[in-house]
Amino acid sequence: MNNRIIFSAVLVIFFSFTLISASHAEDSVIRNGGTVIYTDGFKVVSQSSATHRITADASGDPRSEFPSLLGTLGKKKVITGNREKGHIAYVTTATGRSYIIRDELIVTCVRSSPDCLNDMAGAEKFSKRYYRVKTDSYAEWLKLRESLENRPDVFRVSPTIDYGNRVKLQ
Amino acid sequence: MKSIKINKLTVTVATAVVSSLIVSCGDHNKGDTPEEGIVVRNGDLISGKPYEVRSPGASNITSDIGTVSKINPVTGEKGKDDIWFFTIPEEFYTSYKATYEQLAGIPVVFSVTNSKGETRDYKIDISGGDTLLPDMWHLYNIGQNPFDVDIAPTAGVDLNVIPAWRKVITTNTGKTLVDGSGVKIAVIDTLVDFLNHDLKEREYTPEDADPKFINIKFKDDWMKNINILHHGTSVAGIIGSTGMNSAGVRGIAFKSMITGFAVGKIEDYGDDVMPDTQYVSDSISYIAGHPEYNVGNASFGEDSFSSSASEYSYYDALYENNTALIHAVGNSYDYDIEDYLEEHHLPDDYEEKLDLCDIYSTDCFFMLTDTMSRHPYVINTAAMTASGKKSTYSSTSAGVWISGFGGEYGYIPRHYSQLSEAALVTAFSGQDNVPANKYSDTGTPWLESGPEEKKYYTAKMNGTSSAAPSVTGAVALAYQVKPDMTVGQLRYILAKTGRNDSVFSSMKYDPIIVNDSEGDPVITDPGWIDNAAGFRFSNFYGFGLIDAAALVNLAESCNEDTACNQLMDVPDHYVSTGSNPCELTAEGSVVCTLSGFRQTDAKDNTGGELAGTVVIDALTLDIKGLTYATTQTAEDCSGLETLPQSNTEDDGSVQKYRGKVILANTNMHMTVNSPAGTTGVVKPLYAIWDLNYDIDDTLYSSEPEREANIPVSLLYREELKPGDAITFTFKSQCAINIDMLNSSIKANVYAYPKL
Repeated sequence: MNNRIIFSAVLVIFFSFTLISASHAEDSVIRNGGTVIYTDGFKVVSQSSATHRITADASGDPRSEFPSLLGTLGKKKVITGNREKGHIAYVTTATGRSYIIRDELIVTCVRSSPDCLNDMAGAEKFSKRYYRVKTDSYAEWLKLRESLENRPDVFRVSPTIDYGNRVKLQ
Repeated sequence: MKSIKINKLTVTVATAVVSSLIVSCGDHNKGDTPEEGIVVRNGDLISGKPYEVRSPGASNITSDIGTVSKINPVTGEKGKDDIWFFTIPEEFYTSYKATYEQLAGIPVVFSVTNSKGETRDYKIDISGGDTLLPDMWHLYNIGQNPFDVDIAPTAGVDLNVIPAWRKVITTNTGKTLVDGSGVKIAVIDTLVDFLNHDLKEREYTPEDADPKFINIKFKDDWMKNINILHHGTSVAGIIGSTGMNSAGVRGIAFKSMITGFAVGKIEDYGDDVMPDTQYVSDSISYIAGHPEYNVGNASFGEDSFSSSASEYSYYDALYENNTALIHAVGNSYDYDIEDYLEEHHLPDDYEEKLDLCDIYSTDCFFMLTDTMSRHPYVINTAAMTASGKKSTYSSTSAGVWISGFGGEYGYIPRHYSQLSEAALVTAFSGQDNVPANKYSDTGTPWLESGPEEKKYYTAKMNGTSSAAPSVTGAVALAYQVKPDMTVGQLRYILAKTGRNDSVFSSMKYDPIIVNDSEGDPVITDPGWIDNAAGFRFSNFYGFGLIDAAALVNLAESCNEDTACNQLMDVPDHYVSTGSNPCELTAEGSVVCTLSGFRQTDAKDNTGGELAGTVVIDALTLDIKGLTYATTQTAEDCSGLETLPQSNTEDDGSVQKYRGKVILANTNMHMTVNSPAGTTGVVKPLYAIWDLNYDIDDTLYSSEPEREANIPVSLLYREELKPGDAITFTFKSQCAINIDMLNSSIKANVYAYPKL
């Protein structure tokens, strides 16, 4: 009897989490034609991890206990879970290509104004006319990217993308 | 038990007297002052570091070989009281008369005359400084063949590093020799095992280093389970293994400092599986933010086409920070097509179609496939053998800049049929009590029975993976001589001093001619070309084999060389702007005449027109718009007409289309013509190319800004005048979409005003 109660309770918790998870996931999914952008609730795992049972991560996020496959990144899998620090979006395209957008934007100043972002808090200059700017979320990334691109003293804004290619020793 | 020599050497006693006092290197006996006899210490035979020779009461010391002087030949200072200096002259080595045994050590008889005029002889066996130095043909090639390979090394084919080591330079601390001191090198690779005896003193860990990927401590079981992990250690070993420590190998810049940047997480390695490139981005980002690094070494590429605007920006930043990045061009000249078919899920009938490179012995794979290899200021390095030829595997490229030593496959057991040729001897991963990995070190004769200290070294390191660090080491020596050297200056010096077929006749080769699908001859490699600026270039070798001594010498005098001095500044950047530059010719080729060059100082590329004559420092062709037409007639091109509309599960239409594109790219040939008439091959016919912009970007593009620039080294320092055009010609079996090409093709020219 006790076991039945416990089992029922576990089921209720399970389905509650699943519903919350699904709802949350939809909030952080942008669909545009064949392109799907996950802005949260995704996690890159190595193939070996993905093909075996995946256990909860240290955060205890229930989604990571019941992961589902969202797609691939090179030969890695992307599943539901807590996104890694530095990853702000996971994108899959209609062609099956996929990539991670990382939290860094690289900004190139025009030559006549090599210190173009000196007045911008958080902008880290790493060479004569190159800056690194970090963002926390996809929404902020979009906004920041647009505002930087509109600055006349900015030559180019380059997002940092990880395609999951593998290293080939040569 | 001493004897006095008048005319005849009495070795026995003399040797016994000095035997406990001999120190060939290091500071082990510092402070020793013999009451009688002789102390010889702190020097190095091959690099010319003077030995300090002390003998109490001596009024004069001479030797039967080499030179003994009261004046330190490096500092020019006179030795105190009983101190003399001993060196072996440079000519002893540069004449290539030194024997294998003499590289291991030289017995020297010192004749010491006391104040009474009595002369006593002491025979000193001076060690070569590093146990394996005699085997390191890339440092000094006398034709040694310690591993009994079929094609022995050819004497003289080496880095010419001895004169570089022996160069006396003046630094803040006085006069010194060139050994890489003060130079910091980033090795981006698998792990570097700083527990290796020859690397432990070379480790440099910045204060803010992220231990996740910087100088990760090697663990024994990793090496046992992951064969490929030794790679970074072997690369670092070529660059900077500690020299003169009486053990192991010697690096080219044997006193440089090295940081190991891991390309990936240990858990992402598998049996012959490499990790993804995430840490590569982190590493490049970190190095770009740390201009104290003079040189980076990248002996790797990526497993498929990549294009990253941010990575491209990081390479720009490295350039601005005077950090040179030396990159291995690749090992795919004789690529195994079967592997490629399997890896890319291509149908079996492609084997015959993609294997024409093998039949014609032309390059099998177009290697300008990832962002690193395509950046115009990354220094792409090809590989050469110990007999002075292109290594069989070394990829060719329009973007190759210089050649180093990659060797061949080393000792091969006799039951294999191929002829063996030397690979490089370098450091190997392994710690005390952990034997070297037999798989990776197979064939190293000393593995099972050799001396203990040889177990953590290998005689089988090869590939452009080895060629790159052989260049990096030499470049590090140049940075010691000229710490403020810009990457532009380094490229100039490399191009100016590289040794070509006029120095080594072994580097001569005939143009490679194949037949296209119509049976018409096509030159896939024209051989050596003299460009209009007087630089001799080859897609095999770039501007030739690196010459460490010439590199160091010109680095030192760079400011006195007008052209070199001008390269202190960042070049101006021009882009072609003419509309519809490409057209189909009657012969079926697509000719793109790129002109109307304007400066790109403004973001919309509306900078000023090219006003005067400039000298080309770098050239790239942006081919983002290279796609195929919607009408195709050739049989092999059918299927290219209609782009797949989706990549639904189990459909595979995109994969099939991708295969079609790869085949079409493979059957495309691209050439360049300069305004001065120099003609070269940019993409050889039958070289497999996995460029796939058409499906990934043009149709479904949602990806952020990318790049697809093809670097062309051949036109280095040629002139570009207002009104000039650079022409690229595409000869393709499959019809090219000219409208699409016209919409985006442009040439990027980085240039300086003509002086």
